[in-house]
Amino acid sequence: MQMNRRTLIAGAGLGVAGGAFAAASGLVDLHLPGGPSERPLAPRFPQKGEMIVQRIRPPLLETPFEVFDQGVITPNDRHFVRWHYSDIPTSIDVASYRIAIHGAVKAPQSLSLGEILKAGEHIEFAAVNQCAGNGRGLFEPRVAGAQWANGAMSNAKWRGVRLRDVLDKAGVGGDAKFVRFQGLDKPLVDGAPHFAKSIPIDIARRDDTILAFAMNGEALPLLNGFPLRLVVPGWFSTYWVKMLSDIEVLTAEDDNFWMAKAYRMPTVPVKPGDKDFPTAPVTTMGPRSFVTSHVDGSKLGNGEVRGIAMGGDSGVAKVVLTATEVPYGTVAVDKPEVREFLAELDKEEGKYGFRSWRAQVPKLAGPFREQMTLAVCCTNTNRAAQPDRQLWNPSGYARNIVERTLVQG
Amino acid sequence: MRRLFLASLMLLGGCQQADTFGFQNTSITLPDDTTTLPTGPGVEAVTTNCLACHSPAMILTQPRLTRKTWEAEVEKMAKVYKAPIDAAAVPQIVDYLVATNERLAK
Repeated sequence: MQMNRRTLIAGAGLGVAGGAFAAASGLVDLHLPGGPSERPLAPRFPQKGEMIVQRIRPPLLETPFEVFDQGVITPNDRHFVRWHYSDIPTSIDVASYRIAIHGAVKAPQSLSLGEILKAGEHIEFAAVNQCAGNGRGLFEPRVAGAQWANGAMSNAKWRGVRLRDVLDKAGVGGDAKFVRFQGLDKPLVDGAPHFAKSIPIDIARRDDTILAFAMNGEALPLLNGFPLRLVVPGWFSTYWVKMLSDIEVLTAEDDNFWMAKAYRMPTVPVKPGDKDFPTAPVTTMGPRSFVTSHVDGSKLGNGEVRGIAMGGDSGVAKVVLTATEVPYGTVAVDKPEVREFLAELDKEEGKYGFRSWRAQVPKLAGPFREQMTLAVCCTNTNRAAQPDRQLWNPSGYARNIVERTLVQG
Repeated sequence: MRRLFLASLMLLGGCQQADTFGFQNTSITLPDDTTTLPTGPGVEAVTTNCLACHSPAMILTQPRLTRKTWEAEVEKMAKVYKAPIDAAAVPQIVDYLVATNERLAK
């Protein structure tokens, strides 16, 4: 009965936040449309707490959604994990670790961690690290790939040294266009494309593009990129190369597989089965927001609704919560009662970080007041707002639809 | 001892000291994957040709996909990721993937 209502409300292309909760079985139900939807919370991984184990090898570990209700900073041991290949160094010797800088530079370098730390000022800020495929499992029609719910995102205070200070040790040539990054992870099979990502030189030289050596005041967990990872605030985490070992300055656009073929989005609307459409690399994130105090089926209770929001490539300007009464079963209602609330935002911990919000939702007065959907929409400081309908794409990237939670009045 | 040193740094909250940020040699052991694929025609072919690079979960968590999509996935693994898949085993692999996926996903 409840499933029928849920399905009815969800409709095609409408987002249901899908509150996940751990069952006694040690499985979590991610409410992915059509399934399979259950994932184990085991095995445990080193330096990580309880995580949703999407895949053991190479590791794909999703942050359980209830973690997002416990504070805007995701603890390091709950920060999501994503690797492409299973040859990941499991042992790092910090004294012999080197980061190569080469390509279109005046003097190629091989820098120790100590030299990186001394390359310039250390800065710290909060920023959301989000997989381009976060929420892929909620796309309809469904698409192949890692079947994340909405927990392939985490927020941390990153401390590091500016990439431009490190680049300047090598001296960037005037013809530099892009900078390419690689880490120590490798494919198991010879000839497979080594994971590498590139950013334009002006993004590389930004004031807040850093090589991060600390997350929330501690060294990075190895699975999150110890000892050093690139942080590009506002950009999807595919660019935040972990266990960074190689920086190459390029004089032309990068034609490597991970830029030219993978992690690309259509630049025009497409539907399943379409071919030969133009694409561009996934780059910046859009605004997103979530209810964290309630999951589907929760009682509204005292009406205090909490959540988190992110601006994506800018700060959070506002968060609007809409409560709509939900007609039961087959009964049709012309105009269900709809009420909007401007959420109160907590202080900003960092422009690119999560921001917590709260709103007081009274019981509705209409004939179907016993059930309501809570829809939450963030507008960022670039005036971009979350869409009501998700633009579909064949890789399930960049979901940022207005999420909905069904609560009992 | 090192940990104590780090903790005291954090107490001082000193950015001025951050260039001595205490990196420590780190070793981890990743858990083994003890899961297996459900039995069915072709399970040996999939186990032999696919599971060297990734867990069974990569197959078992997929939504309902068409035969064409599964064929494309197998081809991508071979052509792009250079998986040494026995060409003669491909039809068996695809049959297994399609049949298993139909049981698990609506």
